[in-house]
Amino acid sequence: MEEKSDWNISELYEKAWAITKKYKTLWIFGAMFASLASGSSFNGNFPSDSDSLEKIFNNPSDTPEKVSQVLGAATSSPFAEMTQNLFTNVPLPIYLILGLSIAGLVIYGIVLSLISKAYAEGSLLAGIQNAIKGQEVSISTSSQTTFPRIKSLIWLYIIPMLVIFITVMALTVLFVILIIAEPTRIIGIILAIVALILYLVFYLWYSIANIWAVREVMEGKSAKESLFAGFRIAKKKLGASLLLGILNAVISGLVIGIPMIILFALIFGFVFAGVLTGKDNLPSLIGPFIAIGSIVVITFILLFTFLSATVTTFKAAVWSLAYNKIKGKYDK
Amino acid sequence: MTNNSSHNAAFWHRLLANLTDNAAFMLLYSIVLLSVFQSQNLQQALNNFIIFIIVILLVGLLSTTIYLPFFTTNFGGGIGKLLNGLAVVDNSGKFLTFKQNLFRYNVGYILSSTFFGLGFFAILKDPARLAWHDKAIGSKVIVKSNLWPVGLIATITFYALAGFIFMNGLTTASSGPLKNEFEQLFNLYMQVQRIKQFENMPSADGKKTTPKTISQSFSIQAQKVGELLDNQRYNEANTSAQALLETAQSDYEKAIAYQLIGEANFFLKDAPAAKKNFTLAVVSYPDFALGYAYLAETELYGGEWKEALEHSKKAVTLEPNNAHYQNVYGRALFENNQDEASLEALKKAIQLDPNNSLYKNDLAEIQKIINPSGR
Repeated sequence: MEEKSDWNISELYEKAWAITKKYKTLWIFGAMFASLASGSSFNGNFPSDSDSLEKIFNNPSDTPEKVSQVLGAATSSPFAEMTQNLFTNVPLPIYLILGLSIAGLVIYGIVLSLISKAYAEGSLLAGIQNAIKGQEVSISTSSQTTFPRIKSLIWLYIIPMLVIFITVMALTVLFVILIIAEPTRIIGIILAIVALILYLVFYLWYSIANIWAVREVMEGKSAKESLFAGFRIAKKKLGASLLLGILNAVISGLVIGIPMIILFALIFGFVFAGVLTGKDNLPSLIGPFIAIGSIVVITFILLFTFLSATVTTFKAAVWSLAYNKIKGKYDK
Repeated sequence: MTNNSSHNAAFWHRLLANLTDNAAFMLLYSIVLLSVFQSQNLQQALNNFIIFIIVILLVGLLSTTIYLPFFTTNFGGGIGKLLNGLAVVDNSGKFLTFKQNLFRYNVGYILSSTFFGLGFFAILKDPARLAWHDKAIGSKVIVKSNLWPVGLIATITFYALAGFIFMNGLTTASSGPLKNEFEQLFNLYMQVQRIKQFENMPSADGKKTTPKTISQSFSIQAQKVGELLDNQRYNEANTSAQALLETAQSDYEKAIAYQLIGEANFFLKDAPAAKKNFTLAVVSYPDFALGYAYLAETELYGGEWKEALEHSKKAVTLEPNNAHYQNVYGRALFENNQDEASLEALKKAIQLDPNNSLYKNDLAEIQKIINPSGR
């Protein structure tokens, strides 16, 4: 099934590092993409909502209980009652306009982040390709290459995820019905487990396919064509792609994680030292504490931005170099 | 669109244009904020404040999606750039399209904001004085006519006007009716905090109250307000009671003053204000039975049966031998479908004040509804 590896990982890393080091313009797009992309560090653009899901599953009853406690407290206090009355008496049209304004702003934010992410990723990939070819790497050339491809990139971000979401929802409803009904319960449970395993395998396949698909788009293919091409490459190169992805994740974890751990250790050490010196010395320590604290925080932010920019660029370069090795090979 | 003498604008000139834009927005915000400061009461202030938030949100949304792209497409820039004599053009000197401007002011600005706004500071170092967003879209900002002094004056004027309006509004708010309303709210909050502290510190005999301190002069003034209420001169009573509140020294005196204001409001049919002042009365002096009774009356008036029962019960607990309180309690029990207890309380009220026809009326009315076969 799977063919012999088309690339040599150490060679990919060596070349990717050389590109990252030489073309600092790419860091700009790397930083922009890193700040807009969500998901794991596997490749920098895994679509994932695991954080929010985790929160829901870990604290299923948190919100209602807290809300009811707050309401209880509010109604029993005259002050809270008065302020509550004030908010209740605000005319409904004002709340409606406020709601519409917030909704408008949220929609604007989502659309803007999608376009910006597509632009940043496209420009990063275009810049890397230029760097590989030894051509000029600039904001201008990368942007001009990306503009016609932004729509296709956004299509890749939205449509497959939407299809997956609708399918998962439909299957969930089906399995729930099967499980609720007594005669089909066992079949429903078995089917649900099989579907869950299939879903996980498919999602992994899709995630890898997506890495290749965005590069296909940058080659000028349509979004749909690129997605299918991405699936084909992912099928042929699943093992090698997984290995590359895991290595990327480990490297980014080390590069970003270790300096962050050191910085956190410094912060905790500083706080601990402050506590040890005792309460009496605290007023005289406030000035130095704020000064050193600010320096540490600024260093933290600077370092994080810089590291995430370079690591994102490096990982994108690794994948692009690998892509160049197999470009066109699995078209049929 | 451009003449031959035009050149790319320097960083400071572009910064000034940006400040002019900001100053214009500040002026707009300060005008809207003025309506908050000029509000006559807390409710109006809150409504206007939400409108102020809406304006900020809409300006934030529309400035980069409509205002700046539209003005830059048609005139070369927003008000800031125009007043400073600047224009955004493409490499051939033509104005950008709406789509290009939309990209420039949104995605382009995000690009330049990367690395803490380094893309904007790039203008300082770049030989062609281009920001990152200019390079991305292929635009440049040129000086059409060197109007920076006009821009500077406009910026200072806008900021000064905004500052003046803001300070003026602040002065109005701090000397107008809004100040009193805020003080009342703040006092209420502080009193609630004090009660909480008080509740956590029981005295030796377990009774949690302060002495009923009242001066002779306060007592005389309070009686005068009472007379005004008896004579149905509610507006005058309200004004006098407000003045009385200013002279209140002890918590008990404050409770009486709030009570009188509340009564005036109650008879003026301003139920929310009455309720607020009765609440303030019982918060000022937690054992103020009269305040609880009137609070319950107001709640009965507003159909808040559960709260009325809670507060009237508090009043009869504090003073079980008060006929008025028993009557209110009885009516509250009736509204809460506690018929037997209701009749008992209403009968007790008549026992305590046998000549009161109102209490007899209430009992008769309620008995008519309850008897002979229940509701």
